[in-house]
Amino acid sequence: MIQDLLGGFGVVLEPMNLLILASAVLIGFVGGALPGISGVILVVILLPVTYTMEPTGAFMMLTAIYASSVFSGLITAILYRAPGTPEAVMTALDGYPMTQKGEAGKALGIGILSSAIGGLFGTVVLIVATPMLADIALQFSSPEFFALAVLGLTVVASLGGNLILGIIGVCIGLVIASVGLDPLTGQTRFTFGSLHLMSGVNLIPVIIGLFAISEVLKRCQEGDVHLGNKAFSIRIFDWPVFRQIRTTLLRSSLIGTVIGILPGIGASTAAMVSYSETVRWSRDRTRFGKGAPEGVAAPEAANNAAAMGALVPLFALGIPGSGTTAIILGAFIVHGLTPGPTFMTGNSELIYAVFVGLLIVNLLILVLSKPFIAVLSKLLDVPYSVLGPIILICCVIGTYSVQNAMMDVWLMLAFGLAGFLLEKINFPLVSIILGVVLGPIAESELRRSLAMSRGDASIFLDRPISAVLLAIALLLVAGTLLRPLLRRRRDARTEAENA
Amino acid sequence: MTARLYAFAAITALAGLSLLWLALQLPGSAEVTTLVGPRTWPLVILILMLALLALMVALLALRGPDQFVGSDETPPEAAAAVTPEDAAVAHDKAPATGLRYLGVLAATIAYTVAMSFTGYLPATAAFAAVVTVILGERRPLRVALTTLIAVLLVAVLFDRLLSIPLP
Repeated sequence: MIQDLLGGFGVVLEPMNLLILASAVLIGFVGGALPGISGVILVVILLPVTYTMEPTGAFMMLTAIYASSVFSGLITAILYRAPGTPEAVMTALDGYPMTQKGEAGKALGIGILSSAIGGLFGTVVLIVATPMLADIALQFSSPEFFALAVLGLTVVASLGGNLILGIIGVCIGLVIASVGLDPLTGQTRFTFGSLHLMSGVNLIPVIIGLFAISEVLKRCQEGDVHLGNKAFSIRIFDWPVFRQIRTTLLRSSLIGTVIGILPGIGASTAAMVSYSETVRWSRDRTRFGKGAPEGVAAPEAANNAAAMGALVPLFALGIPGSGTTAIILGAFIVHGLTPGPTFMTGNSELIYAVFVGLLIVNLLILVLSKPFIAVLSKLLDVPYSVLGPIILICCVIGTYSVQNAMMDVWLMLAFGLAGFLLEKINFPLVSIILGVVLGPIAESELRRSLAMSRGDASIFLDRPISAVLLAIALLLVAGTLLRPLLRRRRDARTEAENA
Repeated sequence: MTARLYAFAAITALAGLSLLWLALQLPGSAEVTTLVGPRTWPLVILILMLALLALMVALLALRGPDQFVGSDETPPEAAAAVTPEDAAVAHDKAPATGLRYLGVLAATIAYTVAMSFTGYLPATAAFAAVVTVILGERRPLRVALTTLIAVLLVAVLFDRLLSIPLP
């Protein structure tokens, strides 16, 4: 591993790759901080651009945007009580009161330091845990891979929104994934006589349509958001403050990483759990919600650690731990790569370059965030009448460029309109992507497993690992179904006690 | 919301039934050399989807639309963290017609068609200018600036730097 890691440093420290990383960090900062754009949308828009790049640079870029956009959501959460990302919601709870007390610079400094430490902690665990998990997974066969794909699909249970809608979304994605030639028999399915559809529906028009085009159309219906300028001075390294938050940083980084690794639980939950734990462990709980430094440190360390932790199941097992990692998994598939245990052994240079890249990204957050926030105050008022057309042009040209096919652009527009309309009923769009990305793996492994057992479906329960994975998937779905019932019962009991 | 949910269920069920009919035309396991034929997987998925749509409609009729909005899933502390926003945050009024998205969508379709006839540069310039105006910008200098940025982005990034063949 040490040798692979040194090789990774060698790749990342090439001037071109360092330039890619620094640009990606700045792009991610913009994604997390500017209203109207998000890290996910930037990853989606840049997906076609990376198609022409060499895979190592492409994935260093995409993962760096992902990591830095999780960090930059804290800026508007602290300054304006308007989180740039869902992961930064809890940061506003104590960050904004600090701004009201005239301590915006101190709160931002704590947020930056906590994000970097949480991110570094999560990345170290990622580097250590991924090869270990992949080694175990090397013994997997088709039934285990099918069970893994099912477990990946149950991530839908944690996406928020209604579970039935989420599973319908997964089914829609699975049907889209079955378009084209059947991989085992060569029979065409749902192609409607189109030669273009014989090779299946390309992932890029689906992802760009559902996430970028639908978002632009949604923003066209809403008014623009303007953020006024604020004056503050950031101090990142403040020894007395660091002493005050160091235990919180360690605990929250650990909680965040563990939650991130678990499939189906995202960085937002990690931030929430670590905030609650920090309050629970505090000697003076009354300070929280009124501008306690630990209240900023806990969610920021946890959400950045969780974002890195979520990459462990992605690289080691090939299953996404969250919605954004489902899109990153899609990016790998677009590049003709399938993450998983065998991928680790055959592509160690790429994997370790990405790992080292993430280490450097978390250090770059410390270096670049201060000047970025100073520049950001001048960028905050870019109107959507400028951003909107540029995003649309990138989507159209980018989608066309992947296969030089106008058909892909039409598909993208159709998915964009569908995504826009589906958002009107709070439909979890990521569920469709999960289905499209994991569908081919699930189908082929299911058919191979049944071929192995001569059609006996009990093979999935006879093999302990696949049985355990399927049980976890079932528990995740059952937990989501039972949680509202338990909450209602608890609320009713509390009301009865109060009465 | 109820009408939208029913509309979603109806459209998805219609599409699902059409695809189910197509799936039934595919060869089954007995007609191919593999143990599981190309029909099985899409058939199972489509039947599951149609069953879930039926369940959704039943729940919608019995318990109403609130269960599909998922508002009770937001923990109170998270909701408290972001309300109300700072006074320095200003929201523009939503456009009066609410149909601006249709204009943008129509312009994007026109752009996609026009690119094949005029080439990417004139089409991109016209598209950027038109969408900027649709999105509410009226100052000629800003419209011109957005158009220039868009054209330079496509010409320099996609054409020159990435060498992507454009129409």
